[in-house]
Amino acid sequence: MVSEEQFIKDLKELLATDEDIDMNTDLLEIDAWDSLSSAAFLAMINEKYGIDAEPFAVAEAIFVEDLYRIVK
Amino acid sequence: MSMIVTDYLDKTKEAFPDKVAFVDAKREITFQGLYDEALHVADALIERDLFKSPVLLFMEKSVSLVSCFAGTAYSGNFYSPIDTKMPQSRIEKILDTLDPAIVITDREHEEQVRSLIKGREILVFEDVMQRDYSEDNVKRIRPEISETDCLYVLFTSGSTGIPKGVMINHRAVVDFTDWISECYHFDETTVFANQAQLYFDLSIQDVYAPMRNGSTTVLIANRLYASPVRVWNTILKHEVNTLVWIPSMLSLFANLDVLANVKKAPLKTVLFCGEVMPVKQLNYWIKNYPDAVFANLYGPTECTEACTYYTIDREFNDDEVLPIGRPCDNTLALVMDENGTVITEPGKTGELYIGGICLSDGYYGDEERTRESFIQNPANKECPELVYKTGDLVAYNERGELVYVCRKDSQVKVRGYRVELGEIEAAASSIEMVSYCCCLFAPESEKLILVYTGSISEEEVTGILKSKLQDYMVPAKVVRRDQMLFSINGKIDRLALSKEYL
Repeated sequence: MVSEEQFIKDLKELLATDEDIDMNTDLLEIDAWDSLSSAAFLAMINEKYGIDAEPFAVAEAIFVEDLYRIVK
Repeated sequence: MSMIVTDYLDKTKEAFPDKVAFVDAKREITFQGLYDEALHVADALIERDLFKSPVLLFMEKSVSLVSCFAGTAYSGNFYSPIDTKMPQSRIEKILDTLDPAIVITDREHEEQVRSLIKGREILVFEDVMQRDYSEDNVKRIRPEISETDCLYVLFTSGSTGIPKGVMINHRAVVDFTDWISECYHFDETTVFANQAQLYFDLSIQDVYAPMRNGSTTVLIANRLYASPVRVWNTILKHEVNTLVWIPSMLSLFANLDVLANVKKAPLKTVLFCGEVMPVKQLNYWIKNYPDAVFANLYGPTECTEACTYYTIDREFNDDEVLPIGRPCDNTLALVMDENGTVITEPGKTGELYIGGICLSDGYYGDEERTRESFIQNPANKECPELVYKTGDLVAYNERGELVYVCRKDSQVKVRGYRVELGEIEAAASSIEMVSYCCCLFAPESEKLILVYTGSISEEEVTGILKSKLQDYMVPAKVVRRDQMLFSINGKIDRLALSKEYL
């Protein structure tokens, strides 16, 4: 299972951002998280962690922790 | 006296003074409130002896911005809203072209505006609201405003790198608002969830249909669309029943399977415009809202918003292309071949020319480009009649409906065969695991390149395309990206992709 630290590192890499992000960060507070990020996130976790998640799980995510729960 | 957009509000604030007209995340405003705020703005402009002058609006999408639209119109001036996050170089180009007589911003952006825009008077919305205003001033000036006066200038990207300011007059907006309201039965029970930025022509009915019909528009901050479920919660909260969205946004909700997992909204009408709607994603929406009316609108900014429309009245397979239908009321749609001969028979491709009330008066301060794009109707030798060369290739189908083929510059030749990039994109977007796609053409090597997003490998996409397309249409290169590139208007950014892959 991917650690929280590695997950946040991968997420920041995906979004190409240096913003401060932790598990409690609201996704809307991340400037680099936009309407297209959900699809990119799904592709990333499939490629990096081999996880085929339900797209809606990303659509309803509010906090970074919600995204982490998908890969946990 | 001719009809201008503020005549709508004059009547509606009498009929529905206390009804909510616009809502944003911070506040809501009634029709009477909108009228009062608009008159504050109008009076401030009239007091400065501004008339038929450009007013630059530098504010986020908000109730206040709508008040500025109406206020500028009441004063006999015309507005140009711009994106507050636009790069300074682009703002400077727009300032050079528009040369605004005054800038209106709000407290939030005041500092930014003062550092970006020098040497021009700047009004702060909150300060304007603190002043008294004279209704008499506004009433006095009304007879001097004509329906052919400019209402707004919207800036679109120009191929030379200099933004083009498309001028639209009151008559065009009134005509469009009347048409769309009648055609799709908008009234005081209609509630819109606005998606488009207010500097994008897709927002016209979101702004003016409430003023005409007493409807309500919920202005949803574009940031919120990064969280589709929160957008949907807003739709549910305000009992939204009408969407006029760009296809990419409808596709996002389909790709994330949102509709099947959330509470049903009272949706009655879903319209889309601005780019090609992939049928696979449309079918997802129809499956979830089988009783709603869906329609494909087509139109460049130069024709106000939509100039043709097709209300979905039959089933389409995922790899079919939706028609753009037939002209809206008071609109001329001509299809002409390269020799200037009008095409009326099905199956023949030609360029679409648009005429009628919807037509822009041209590009602000740019006579040369106006003359190039707005020409005398080649089919009318007798009377002066301008038409706009859309640069879009279309054809009639067997039912007599117009079908969009591709941009004129998207029709390419590969090994001597004529290929329409849109056809390849339609085939690719019908693949279940492809979410967004764009086909590019490298003219020197005559190679087609398909760029897509989705959870399917490049090899699999190529394999499926081989089964769907003729061999010369199968892209030589298929590239999967994590994220599609989109322009500020939310359309797939073909130019940026070309720079990256060609």
